[in-house]
Amino acid sequence: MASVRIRNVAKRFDSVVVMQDIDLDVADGEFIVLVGASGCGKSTLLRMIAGLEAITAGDIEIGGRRVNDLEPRERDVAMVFQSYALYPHLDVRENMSFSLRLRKRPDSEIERMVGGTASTLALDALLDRRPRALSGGQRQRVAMGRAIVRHPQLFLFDEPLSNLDAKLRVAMRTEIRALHQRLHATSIYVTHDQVEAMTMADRMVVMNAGRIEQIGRPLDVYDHPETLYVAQFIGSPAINVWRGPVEQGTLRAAPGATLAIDANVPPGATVAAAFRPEHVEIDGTGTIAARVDVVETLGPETYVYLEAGGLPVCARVDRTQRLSPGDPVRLRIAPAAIHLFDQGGRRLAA
Amino acid sequence: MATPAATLRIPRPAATPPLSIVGGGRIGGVFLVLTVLAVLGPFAWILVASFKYQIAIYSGEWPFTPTLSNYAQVLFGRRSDFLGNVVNSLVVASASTALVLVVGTLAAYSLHRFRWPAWVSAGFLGWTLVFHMIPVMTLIGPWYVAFRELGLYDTRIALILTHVTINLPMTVWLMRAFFREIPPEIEEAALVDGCRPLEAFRRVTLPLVVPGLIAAGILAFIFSWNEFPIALNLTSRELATVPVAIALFAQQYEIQHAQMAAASIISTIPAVILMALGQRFIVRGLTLGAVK
Amino acid sequence: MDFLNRTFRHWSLLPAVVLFVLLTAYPVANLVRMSVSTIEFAQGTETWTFTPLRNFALLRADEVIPPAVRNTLIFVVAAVAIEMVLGLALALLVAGVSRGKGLVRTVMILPILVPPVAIGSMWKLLYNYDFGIFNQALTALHLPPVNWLGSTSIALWSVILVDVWHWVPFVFLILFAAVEALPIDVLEAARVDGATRSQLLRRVVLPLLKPAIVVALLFRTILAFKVFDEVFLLTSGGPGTSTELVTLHLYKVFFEQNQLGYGALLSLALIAAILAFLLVGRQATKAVRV
Repeated sequence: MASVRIRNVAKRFDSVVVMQDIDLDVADGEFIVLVGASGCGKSTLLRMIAGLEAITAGDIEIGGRRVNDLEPRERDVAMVFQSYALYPHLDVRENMSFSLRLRKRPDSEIERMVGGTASTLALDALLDRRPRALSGGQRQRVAMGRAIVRHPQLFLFDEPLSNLDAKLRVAMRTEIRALHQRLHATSIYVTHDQVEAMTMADRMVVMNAGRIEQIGRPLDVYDHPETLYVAQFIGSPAINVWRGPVEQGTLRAAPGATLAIDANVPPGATVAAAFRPEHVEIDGTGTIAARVDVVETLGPETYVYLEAGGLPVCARVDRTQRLSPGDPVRLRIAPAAIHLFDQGGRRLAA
Repeated sequence: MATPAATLRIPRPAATPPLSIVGGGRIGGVFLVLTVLAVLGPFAWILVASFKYQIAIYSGEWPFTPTLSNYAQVLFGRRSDFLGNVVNSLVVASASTALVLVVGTLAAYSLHRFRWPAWVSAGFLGWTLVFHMIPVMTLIGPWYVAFRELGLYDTRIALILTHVTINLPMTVWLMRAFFREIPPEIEEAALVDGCRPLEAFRRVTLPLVVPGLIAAGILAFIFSWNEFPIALNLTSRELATVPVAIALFAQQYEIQHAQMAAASIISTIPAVILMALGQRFIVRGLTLGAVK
Repeated sequence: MDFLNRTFRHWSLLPAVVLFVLLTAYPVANLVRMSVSTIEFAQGTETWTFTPLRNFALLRADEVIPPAVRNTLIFVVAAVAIEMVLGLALALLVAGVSRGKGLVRTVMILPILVPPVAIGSMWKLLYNYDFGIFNQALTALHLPPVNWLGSTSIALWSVILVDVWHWVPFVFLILFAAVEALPIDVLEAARVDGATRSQLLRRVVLPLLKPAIVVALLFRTILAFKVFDEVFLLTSGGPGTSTELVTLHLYKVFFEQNQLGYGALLSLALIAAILAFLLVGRQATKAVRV
């Protein structure tokens, strides 16, 4: 197992700069998730760590060794591809033992390692099958088995669960997490799904348009987003955002939609105020008048979509609270729960 | 997001693009150029020779004074029927292509769309495959006898029919491959909308396989134009096609090399034209047909 | 119109079947009849005489058959082997090039579309002892000129070279399309798994190309047996019998010696040989597929 240091990394395709100022330290045994929307550069960064893309500038070190000029096979990393990339002409056993056979390991050792990994992943019955005879979930496990068998310094995952149906995705999420706890393998995991990021990561790296927005533990990032982008990207349903000028401690987003702010904001400046649905209280004494639009009952909780002063708001309520579309209600939002961001999306000191 | 390039140090890229399996990059480029030269070289030399006086060819003169006399002699010379040969080739090629497209496409569609008992479809397709593999020369003998008996020896009809026969397997297999690419739901939608089978074919399916028709048509035309053994043996001087005329050049006691070069170049004109225009279709047709 | 619709499935297949049966099955049946007869055309009339043994006697006495068979086998094996190797090598080498692929594809179609007779006549000029470009180049380098088409030891290989030039582009196009269709992520996975270039080639690329290679091999072998036009133009079987091929000999028996009955016998033998070869080949490829 090894640590990974990424210093000042940038990437250029022809004349287009797609990534810059990437700095990241991954500790030995840590499970890091790179999360962001499509095109933010997370897969490109992963491929640069693997050696499948050239590093335009900056340094990447794996286990203390600078790997910029090393071929993928010299870096001792294993990768699980989004499409699984199993060798179609080999069966499961040969797929998993491929890297070992390349290194001319003795047959007994190969047998042992493949057999062990196969039973960990419940692939024993499938060892003689070809990839085309496997289901999506089975292929995914074979792809993981192929990576695990090698006991590499570093595991790389490129959106491995994207092609699975929802239920399978949830099941595999837990399995990968459990495997990580057993193997303590340094892992870098790429996904566009913020739920996967939140549930699986030791630390998250939120990326946007080739830059890192924020790095931190999932709950820290959730509770203290440093940019508006992070606040909006993490959390489902999305965080509420109201924009407007602040006058004397009050944000005026629209007539009838005002918030009490307890921060030092230059008067007249326009800010974005973000507050999570779970921090919106619906009771009879709140300061904001609103009307119920849509009620979504999910089971354990209920989300109410309202309109206040013409602006949309989402609130999470207990399932005991019975509301119907059209009901007039009053909202209360504690100033302490409001995150403030300036015009450029940067956090304002509270 | 633009950063001045000066702040980025750009070292030599470490990773090679994935598809450069053996060579790629420089080596691949060199071989690419060499291959193109090797393929075009002979053509170029013959092209040059066709514009040289015979004596200049013998002496290997370079540079040389170009002349059109070879082409003039071949096309318009008193002792030459080449223009007639060209007409013959055009007529036979066009007619046999039209005929084989109609017959072959209908057959391919019938086999694809309608449920025929296995012995019919497998039988016909297997039959065509077997005859595609047999050297044509084995059939020319009985054809010669049969056509003479029927009084069809040395007629355009004989040539056209035999050309259709040898091009039929390829046409059927190619059109079948193209028909297979059409989702069956489209035809079913047409039938639900009220089309009879013939209409569905004409209005819906046929327009969708136009690329296939073009590919098959081009290939059939070329193969008919190029065809030699049948034309050699089933026609006499008057109905001789272009390939036969070229062969005659080579069999003369004193070979007119310069004119033979010119005639050869002329015979490649359809190929060059169709290559320039229909390259996409041809490659798709060849590779699609090859994967059967 | 309704009748046409109802019978569409029938009359769409009928012309092809009729045409094909009339022009292939019937002649083949005729071959059998012809092979036991002697046929003469004299003054517009045709006479058939039943002479079963005569044609067999001609077969046994035919001294051209052994060299023709031998040459044909050498030709097919050598030409197809060289073409497959060159075509594969080129396809792999050119695959990594970023620009110029369209040009290559266009140019490579040319030899396939040009009349084989023209290819024969062109190379006849190229090979010419006195003024052909090869000998011109050799003399310019102070080397002795080679009698490409006139030397019994070299002539067959000169013919093979023409076939190679003719068909390598075809093999290249098929294999090149297959190489371009290789799944990139599988190749990347192999690189990450630790494969060197040669390991990648041997263990991943070539196995994945096997279907295309088999197709190209089959096609080329079938076509190689049918070669006629170029050889007819280049050497017509000579010098001596050094470039005599089975199809060429068949032509001469039919149309130069006018032995139509004997020729029919030869045709049947040839068809039988090819069918046997095909059956063996099919069994072999089935074994390889699994």
